[in-house]
Amino acid sequence: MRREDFETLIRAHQAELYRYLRYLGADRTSAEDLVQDVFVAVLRARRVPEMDRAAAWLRGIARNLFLQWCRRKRSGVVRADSETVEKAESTWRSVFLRSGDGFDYVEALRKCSKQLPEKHRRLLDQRYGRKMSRAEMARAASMSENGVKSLLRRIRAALAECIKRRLRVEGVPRG
Amino acid sequence: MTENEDRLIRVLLCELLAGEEPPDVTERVLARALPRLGVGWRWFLRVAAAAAVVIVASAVWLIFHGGPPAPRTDAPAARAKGDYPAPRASGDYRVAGGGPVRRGAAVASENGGARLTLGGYCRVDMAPRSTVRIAGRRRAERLVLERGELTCAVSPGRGAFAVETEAGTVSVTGTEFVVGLVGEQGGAAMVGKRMFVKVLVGTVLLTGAMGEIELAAGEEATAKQGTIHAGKPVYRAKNHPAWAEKGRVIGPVRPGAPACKIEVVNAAGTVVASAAPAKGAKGYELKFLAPGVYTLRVGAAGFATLVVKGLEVRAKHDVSIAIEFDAAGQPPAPGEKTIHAGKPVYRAKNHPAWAEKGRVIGPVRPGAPACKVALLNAEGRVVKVAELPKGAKGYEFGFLAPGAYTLRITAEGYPKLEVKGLEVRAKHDVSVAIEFGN
Repeated sequence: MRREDFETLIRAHQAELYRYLRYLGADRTSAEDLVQDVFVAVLRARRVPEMDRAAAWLRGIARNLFLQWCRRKRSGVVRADSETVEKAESTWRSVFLRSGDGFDYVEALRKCSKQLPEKHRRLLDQRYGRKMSRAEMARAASMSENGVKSLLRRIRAALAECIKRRLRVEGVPRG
Repeated sequence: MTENEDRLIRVLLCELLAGEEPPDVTERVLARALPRLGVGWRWFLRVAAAAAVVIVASAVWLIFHGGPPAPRTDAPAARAKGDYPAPRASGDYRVAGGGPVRRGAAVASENGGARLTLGGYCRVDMAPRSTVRIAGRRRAERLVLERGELTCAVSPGRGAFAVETEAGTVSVTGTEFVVGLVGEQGGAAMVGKRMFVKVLVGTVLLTGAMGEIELAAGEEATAKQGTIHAGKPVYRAKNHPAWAEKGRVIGPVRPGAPACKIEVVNAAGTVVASAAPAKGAKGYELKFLAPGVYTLRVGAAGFATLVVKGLEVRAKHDVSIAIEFDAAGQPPAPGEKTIHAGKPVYRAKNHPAWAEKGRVIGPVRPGAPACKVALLNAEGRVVKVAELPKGAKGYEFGFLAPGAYTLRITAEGYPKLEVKGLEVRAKHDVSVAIEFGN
């Protein structure tokens, strides 16, 4: 493969692969390493499918490498087997990629999170923006840790519903 | 909400709220991959050998000519060795998923429109609410238009440029043109997308389901996404012992087929078998498949992908599915008049006045002649009519009871267009854009 083509392939897919590996359960550093490993594996394979099929093919390599990584890190917190990873891939395709490249899904999430009540937005920001622990959040909001946990889950469920509704209204085709 | 959906939302929230951007690993991967790309010590040896040859040749030349060669002053060649400009964007835009404007990124223009500059020789003005993905490579810039309209200007002699859509591709080496992609409705259901091209300067090559046509300055054409049809599955028993535990998917491909790709996908979404019949192929075969239920996927450039779900493969059996390509997107000859309707877009309305009613509205693209827009109910009776003057910018039918309607657009000299099965919902506007092509 020519260097230019390889560079184009990396630039075109690295962001999605990183997001995908984070979604599978890899931490930030490992996801970054695994993205690199995916492209090194591509070079070993010495073949690249057409551009429109490349994303799915790269995700397949990423899944295999992720599973190998999970086996190596048996003592870590991430537990995954091929079945759960295939299920995750199925959700990725049917939910996230239903509009093609996930663009509409991210946009819908952005809009839905803006519509949340102020209190819920603040909780999301504390948890995912400032990476506060649930204990810290519970202290700040005078709630129990379990209360924070279940409220966060309810907010995420509301976001998921809002995204579905929004994608339906905006006419994004179902995958 | 499933656990996977929940995790997906958590990851995306981290990106949106913590600004957790995907890292750029290009340089690190290239550094690891350099030996495989032939840029290691072997590359060094090649450069050293080439340098030695140049030194020896220069020495020989000096001996025979008594002086050094005159310096070359072809500035373009010198410039060519310089840095190649990275893609740039300006105006009202955003990058999908965040991050910089770069190859592979999807750029969406907001209400104010945006401008992209590629390779220093392609200037692309994005109409409001358009989306493109930056593809291609150095001196062969390419954009994949996913939504909206682009006006492109390409400086000649600096490189190639192409705009690719689901309905076709426009390629040029130096010209100016407008290209857009709209959803098209030809009946109760959407029937794919349509690309329109208007050439301002120079010539372009339009490639789509209908083949290739060259357009010169002043000409315009449309390319509609072709459709692929599949016949009914027919099962035939196979008695050979080799097929005792396996099955096969085969079928004829009707004459006039383009090069295509046929895939069999299992329930987990994995492609288990594929074939790539060449242009004009008469059939295909996907063999030794384990019994089960599969999805057959057929794709070709310029055609909407055909998906046949629930295809049962049985042991000791062939299942035959005929495939036919319909390049219905034959572009109208330059000058032929057409009316097009965009994809219906729904927008919620919260005002109590619309609690039980809906509205049909829409813009009329510039250059429209005087026309009549009528709305017919499910019984085919005209319930609303709007007579639009020449150059009208939009239309509106308010306070409609929810239900299925037909939008009929007529104008003198144009064939009638009917948008059937248009659903009017309470508390919603449904917007259908109208465009007249000459």
